[in-house]
Amino acid sequence: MPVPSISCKTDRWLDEALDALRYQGFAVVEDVLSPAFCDRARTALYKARDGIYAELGEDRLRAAGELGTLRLPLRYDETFFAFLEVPEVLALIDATVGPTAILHLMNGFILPSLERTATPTTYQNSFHRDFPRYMQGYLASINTLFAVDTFTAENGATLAVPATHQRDERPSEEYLNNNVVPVEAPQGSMLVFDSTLWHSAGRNNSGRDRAALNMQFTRSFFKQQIDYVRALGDSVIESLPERSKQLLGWYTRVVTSLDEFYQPADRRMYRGGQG
Amino acid sequence: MIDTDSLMLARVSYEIETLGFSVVNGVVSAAECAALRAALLEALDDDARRYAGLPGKKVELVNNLAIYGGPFLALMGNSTMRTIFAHFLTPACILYNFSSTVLYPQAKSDVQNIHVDSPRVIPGYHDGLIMTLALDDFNDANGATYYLPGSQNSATPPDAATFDRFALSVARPAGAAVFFNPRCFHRGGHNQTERVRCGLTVFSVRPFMKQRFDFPRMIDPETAAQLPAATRAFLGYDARTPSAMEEFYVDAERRLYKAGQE
Repeated sequence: MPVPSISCKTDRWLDEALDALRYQGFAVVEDVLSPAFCDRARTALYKARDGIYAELGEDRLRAAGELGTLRLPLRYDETFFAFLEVPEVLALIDATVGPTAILHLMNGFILPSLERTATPTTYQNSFHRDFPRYMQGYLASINTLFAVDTFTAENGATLAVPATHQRDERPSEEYLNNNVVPVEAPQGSMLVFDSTLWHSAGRNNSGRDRAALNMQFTRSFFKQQIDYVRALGDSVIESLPERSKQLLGWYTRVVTSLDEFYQPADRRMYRGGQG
Repeated sequence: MIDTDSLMLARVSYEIETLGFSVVNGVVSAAECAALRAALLEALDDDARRYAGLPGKKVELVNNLAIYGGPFLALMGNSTMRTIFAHFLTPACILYNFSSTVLYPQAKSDVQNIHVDSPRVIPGYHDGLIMTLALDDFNDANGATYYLPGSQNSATPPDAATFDRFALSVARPAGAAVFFNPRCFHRGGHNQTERVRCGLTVFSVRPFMKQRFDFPRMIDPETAAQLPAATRAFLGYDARTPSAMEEFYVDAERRLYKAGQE
């Protein structure tokens, strides 16, 4: 099955991406990031990796069974905030999970190249859904995964199983294995997928690291994977554009006291109209 | 032998799916009811003293009764309530909100307008369920709530004439509760008696949804430590969001968001 790919330079890219998202569960939108921005993002990913290793230690990350996953990169380099302002990302959010949506997670990936037999089995490279529940077809969550480096079958392109989104049952292992496709994409592309799509990370045997950045957005009433407002601090959030504040959860904070609760409308932590 | 719990659950399930609401008698005993009523009247006074004059504070409404402890926290472990919530929202469901449902004699209140308790329409999926427990007999004279049967599937509100024609007043004795879909259109009645009418409302949601109050940060830690594990889980202690990497990368036992929460 061909991977649905559209350039964001075309007029109908959003409609076509939404159609593919609806029927195939995913689409590749090309030409979203410039090569210069990808270079900057790659540098930022390595900086985040160094920062995380220094803070937590490689052993602790290894014990968590993760391979090249960089959580909370926003803490380590401001480049990552720019991903929250990419117009194509915002257009997709508006057309799917709505303008009050929030960031559920932002993870960087530096997928190391390993011998085929040396790559450990992890949660990420096993078939899974990023939003592991079925809400009767209600679109609650989408992902945008950026190819900071070109995605190829050899360097661990994401493996997607078309049209397995929005289903209550897990497809059989045989079905998943027989129908999976590597989502190859040029550098700067954005793989958008319904978070209920069955997929897995690929395995990198290319001889070089492969860099990527994943963001998941949900309706505003779902919990985030990490409380970004607390993790980054009020002063950081308040310095950001309004839309970034919205995405990071500033307007859907859960109160921790009744003094925080009894506030005028414009100072409420969970604002009206957020859903 | 007839399994009365299963029969009750089957009836409640059927009525909530069709009517949008269902009444269950004897959710709490007479003694529990009396203790809750006395504690509620104290909480109303205390809350009024602490928060009078703040934006949104209403004299008849105590938000977050969980922080008042005692019989309110004991109610969080009520087996009938938890069984019904679990049926619709999975056993990992959590508390979204816990507030008073009080009508003072002759009082006017926003809840007397036709409304729903959730802005979200997700057809065929239960993202929340509410229990309103009567601590006094609820009847037409003291303002029993009116519910519009079948309205939980409608995205738009009914006009007042339609509501008045088809809505049912859900009278019930003290200790009984109405369980209802938050999307079922309803409105409070009017208390034309001389006595305050008391009730409690417990709103439960799926564990991956935000709570209205951050109960684990609000409940006194010493009190929380004494609570049964199932009550802590219902209050959201097993479905907390990490706010730092240090909290994220911990062993399974110390995770803030425990595995198996749905």
